[in-house]
Amino acid sequence: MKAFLIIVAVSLLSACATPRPVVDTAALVAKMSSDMDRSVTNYVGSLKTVRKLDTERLQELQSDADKRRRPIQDRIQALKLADEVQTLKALDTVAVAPEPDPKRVAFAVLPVASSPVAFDSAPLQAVASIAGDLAQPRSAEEQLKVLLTFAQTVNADLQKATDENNTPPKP
Amino acid sequence: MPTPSLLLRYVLAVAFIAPALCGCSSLYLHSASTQEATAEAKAELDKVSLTSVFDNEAAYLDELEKRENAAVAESLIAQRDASLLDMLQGRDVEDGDGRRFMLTRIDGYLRTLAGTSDRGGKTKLWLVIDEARRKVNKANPFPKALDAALKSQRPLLKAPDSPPTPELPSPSGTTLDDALAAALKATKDLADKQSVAEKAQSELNQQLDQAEKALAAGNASQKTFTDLLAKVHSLLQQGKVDDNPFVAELVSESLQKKLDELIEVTDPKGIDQPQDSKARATIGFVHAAFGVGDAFSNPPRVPHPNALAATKAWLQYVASESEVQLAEARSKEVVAQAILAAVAEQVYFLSRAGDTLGPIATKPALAQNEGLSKLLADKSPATSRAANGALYYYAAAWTKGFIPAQQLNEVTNPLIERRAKLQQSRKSGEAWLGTLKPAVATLAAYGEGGVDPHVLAELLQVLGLGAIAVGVN
Repeated sequence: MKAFLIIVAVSLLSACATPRPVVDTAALVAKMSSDMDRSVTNYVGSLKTVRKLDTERLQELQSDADKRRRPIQDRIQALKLADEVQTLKALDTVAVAPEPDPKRVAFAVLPVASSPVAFDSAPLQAVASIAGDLAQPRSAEEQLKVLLTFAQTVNADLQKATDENNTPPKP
Repeated sequence: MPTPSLLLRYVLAVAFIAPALCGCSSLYLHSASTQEATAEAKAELDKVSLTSVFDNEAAYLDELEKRENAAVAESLIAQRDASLLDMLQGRDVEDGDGRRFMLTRIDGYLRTLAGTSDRGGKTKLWLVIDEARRKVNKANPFPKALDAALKSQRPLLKAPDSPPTPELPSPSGTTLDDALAAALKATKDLADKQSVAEKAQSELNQQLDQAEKALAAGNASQKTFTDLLAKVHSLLQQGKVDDNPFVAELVSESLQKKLDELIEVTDPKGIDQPQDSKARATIGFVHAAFGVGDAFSNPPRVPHPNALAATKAWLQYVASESEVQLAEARSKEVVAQAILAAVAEQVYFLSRAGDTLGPIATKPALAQNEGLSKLLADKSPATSRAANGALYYYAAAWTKGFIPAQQLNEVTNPLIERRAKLQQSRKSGEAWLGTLKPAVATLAAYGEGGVDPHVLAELLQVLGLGAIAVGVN
């Protein structure tokens, strides 16, 4: 009888422990989720850094274009004052903008800036945390707790069924 | 302190399932908290959205391209207009009058771009380019046609007899020879790499067929597939070393075909029994290649559908990674052709400007502070027409040549690399999720499973054991 009880107890405790393949999968999920979160967070961080450099480069390009454009505008203004119609007309005819291209438009029509890039780490961190907990081996105390909860639920169901059976039918 | 009745019920509950638990290791007690946690993990993973990050960056790059192109164009337009004003007004120019200034610009740029000016002879660069354009067809693309035309006509080009004009640096930084060599090389490289990859795929397919036949006939061993796997890895590695994305694309295409065959043979009729030797062979292949399933056990162990899903996600990643690299290589080829076209426009219009200016190159005379404006107002229509034409062609060399070439060099080319990296990151993110989702689904399935206490209670009730316990009480 004692041996039987020991076998029963061991079997039950082992049934309360998380199976090895599940532990392995959970460990893998926890690691992959953490790695992915770190990787995407770093990626978003590097995008922000590169965008900052882009802004600086664009400002340089714009300031170079402005610097070159200013003296020309002064000269054109002088030509207008001197009423140099022939020169102005010739310039107006040949000095055209490049052919229209949706990718090549003037600054004025461009939107101010795109929305900042961001990544919400919370869901991946939650997955990593849950899977990490599942990957931890259950202590004997936890296993007993699972067993007790299980048995209590069975008992509650049985008690409920018995009560229902013993209730006299209403006239 | 539990009552004897309660104790008896507990013992009955656990004793009833104990033999089952001993006999079947896959049985376990259901835990509501585990179910809740694994379901939450699945729900949280569904919330992970990488698409917004990548879409945001893609939109940003489109906007950046517009801004940079506009800035580059503004800068070059200003340079163009400054030189046009000097030509028209003849003021503040180092080479005398405005016409002389234009001639030195034409000769100086042509020397840099094409190796020589063509104003001294009858053969003109714009005619050479025109001839090449006329000969373009499917078998003879523009780079090839231009190469042939330049080879035959270049010796006939002649600079003017006047002292040679110093070379002027190209505003877009690329010479015609460099642009031509880059375009020819880009096309040849792609064709060569495709040919190498097709040969590699053919070898791999042969080895795959041999391995399958050997396994179907019972002559294969684990080594057969280990060798095959070594071949796959060596091909993928070689593709990386040679920077040949065609190899990875074609190898993954062959591998995915095998995986699809396996999914096909295992899916409709259940995964317990592979249907035929072909199925066994594909399982063997997938097992050897990806470590899922086992074709050498008897009966063969079929990979779990989640393992197949994860494997497929990985294979799709390998394929999509090579697709991105291929798209990058093809985009670079297109840009190389576009740069050549733009540099050819520079040479074409500068050559035409020089040719048009030819009849009025020295007469009528212009003073130091005079420019083409004076010639435009000349009474002779031929003179004003020539001056007008020369101005138009010179401006077109910038508008249709230098500006687009510089935009391609400074903006489009670097952005191709950034877009390719973005695409790789997008595919990589999809592969992460594609691998994680089946694994988390497995955990959720585990959480939902196990011996349910409510079911057990019903069973005990049916068997009357509950009543006995209550009776004891």
